[in-house]
Amino acid sequence: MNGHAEKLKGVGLTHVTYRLPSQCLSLEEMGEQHLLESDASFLRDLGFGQSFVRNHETSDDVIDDMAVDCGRDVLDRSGIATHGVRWLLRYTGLPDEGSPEGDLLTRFRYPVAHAQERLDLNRASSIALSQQGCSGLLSSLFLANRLLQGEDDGAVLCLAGDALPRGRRREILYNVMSDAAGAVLVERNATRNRLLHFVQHAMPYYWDTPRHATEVLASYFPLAHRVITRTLDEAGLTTDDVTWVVPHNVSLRSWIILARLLDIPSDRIWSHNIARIGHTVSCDHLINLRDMEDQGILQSGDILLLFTFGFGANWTCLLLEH
Amino acid sequence: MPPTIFITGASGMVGRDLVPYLLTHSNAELTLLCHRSGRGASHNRRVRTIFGDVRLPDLGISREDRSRIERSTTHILHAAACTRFDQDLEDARAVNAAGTRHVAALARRCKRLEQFGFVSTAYISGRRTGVVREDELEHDEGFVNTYEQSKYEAEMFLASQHAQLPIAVYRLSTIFGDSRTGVVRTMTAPHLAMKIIYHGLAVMVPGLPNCRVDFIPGDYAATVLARLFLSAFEAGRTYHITANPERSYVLADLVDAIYGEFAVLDSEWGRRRYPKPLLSTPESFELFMQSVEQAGDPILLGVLRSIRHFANQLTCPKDFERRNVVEALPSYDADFPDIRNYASKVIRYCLETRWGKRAA
Repeated sequence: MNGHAEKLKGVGLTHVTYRLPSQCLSLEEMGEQHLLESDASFLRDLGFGQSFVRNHETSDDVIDDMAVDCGRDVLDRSGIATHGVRWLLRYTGLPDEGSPEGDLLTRFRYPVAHAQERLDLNRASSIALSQQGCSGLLSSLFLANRLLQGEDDGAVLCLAGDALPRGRRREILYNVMSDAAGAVLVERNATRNRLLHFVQHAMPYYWDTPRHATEVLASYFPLAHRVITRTLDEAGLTTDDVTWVVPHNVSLRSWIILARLLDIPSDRIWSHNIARIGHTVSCDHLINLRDMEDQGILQSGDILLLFTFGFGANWTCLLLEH
Repeated sequence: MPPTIFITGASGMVGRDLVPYLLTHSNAELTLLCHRSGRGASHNRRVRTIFGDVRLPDLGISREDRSRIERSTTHILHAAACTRFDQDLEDARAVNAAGTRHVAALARRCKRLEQFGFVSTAYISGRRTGVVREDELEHDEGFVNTYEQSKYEAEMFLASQHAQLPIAVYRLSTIFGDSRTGVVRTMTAPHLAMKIIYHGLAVMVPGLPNCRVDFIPGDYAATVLARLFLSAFEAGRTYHITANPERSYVLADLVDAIYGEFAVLDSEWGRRRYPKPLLSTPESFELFMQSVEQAGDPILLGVLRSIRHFANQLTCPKDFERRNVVEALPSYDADFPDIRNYASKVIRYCLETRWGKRAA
């Protein structure tokens, strides 16, 4: 297997939050508006229910605004001084290509730098990450850990957010999509959500998603099984040790199948947001972690298995200890 | 006088190796029944080819041919079969079960008949697991596909005919290819599975990693069948022409061998690093199948449907007893070609001919 495998020491996700657009469409409404590829009844059978969609009246920057709001929220709740944030990472799976017209310098307007300025993170360096599909957030956390290994103190603020292009269909390969933004603070000497192990398997042959869509579908389960199994093995754990699977919100049906293949009871997959929100490009794990904390689901010492697949293609697994 | 052998299925998977062996190793006169829609097996002056259809009463042959067969035939070897696993049950029965009844009816009218050999399959055992004995037939474990079921029904019929006909049954396992050349006469389920793997579409296969995969080489199968039929015939006996387990792969090793060989033969393919299929339970496979059926993805659906018709056999591990065949041919196991020595030839043949679409 290629990619990265890393035991991660002492770094954790201390504060997590997310935002959703206000407009919520049911599967039936999306069907009526021709925003789905498949029948609404089929998608409901797969576990989906509704989608949060950026409103037509909102500005193009609404997701960036939401991401900055999330960042501000996380910083306020953590109480960390802004000079304590050494790095700002901003992940998006659907980067804005910008207009081909106009002044060339407008191509150098960077949302991540704008976010840094709005959050008053004057001692941080900022990097925008992209092109890992729905794997990007977990990769951001992996990078955040690496960056912190080189620092005596400080934190990394990770922002994420994506919106599908306006007016386009809300279903990608049988998954119903919501727009969303989120933020997470990654700190050393964290007392919760400590990063235990990270494994990512890349299949760059699938870089051209439309051309290899069927092969990608065929590879999903074998590589998901392999990556999760390897992550647990290398961390010295078994599926019995996993308290919760924190999923990316692809179809519930696919999680039931994967759970059987891994011999994990499906009631250990925290799947409540699949029907409520569906899949987002970069925020599923932030959404699920935050809701699990708010609902008192998590106990200290719980082992959390975060898994995702991203076009490009990458299969990624991260283990946390709450 | 030399024996006169009437053979059905002479142009099939086993027949095409069997007929040359019979011509070389005996002085028999052969009459070959070939299907009307197929090409005839062209051989030498000791061979007569007639066209017919086992699905029809009297095999659809002319009165003149029928009369000659009834008058002169001393041996019948019934090898004609529909070997597709995805055939509708009624269509499979028409060839495999009814066809066998039609051949048996003709056999009963052959005044000089000494031997009736029936080419069956070891997988009339269906979903049975554990030791499968040669003298066992009837069971209620069910079947993985219509081929297994219809051949079982044919054997059940022949079991009722022992008082009227001198019958020996030869149950062959799955033919993988020629152990000498790698040539595959007819692409069947294992070859289709390799094609699916080659195209990166192998998602999951119901199967146990340590389940031994019972493959036999076509040339060895034909030789053994001919020797048993010509030189060691015993009416009322059943023979398992199946693999020597010590010279066979388990499923996980077979998958590894296929991936390894493709990577050697096609470096570009190797670079893609397609994942190996998951070996799953039948339940997981069916749930995934249901999802694909609902989604309607035509490519994946075709792939899974083709796998479904045979792969469930890989969750029913069996140990085929070979007592009768070893008693008749004591060197059977020792002479059995080791699949590790010829699998690469078969895989290469499949790839180079694009699964039979190009000349070798």
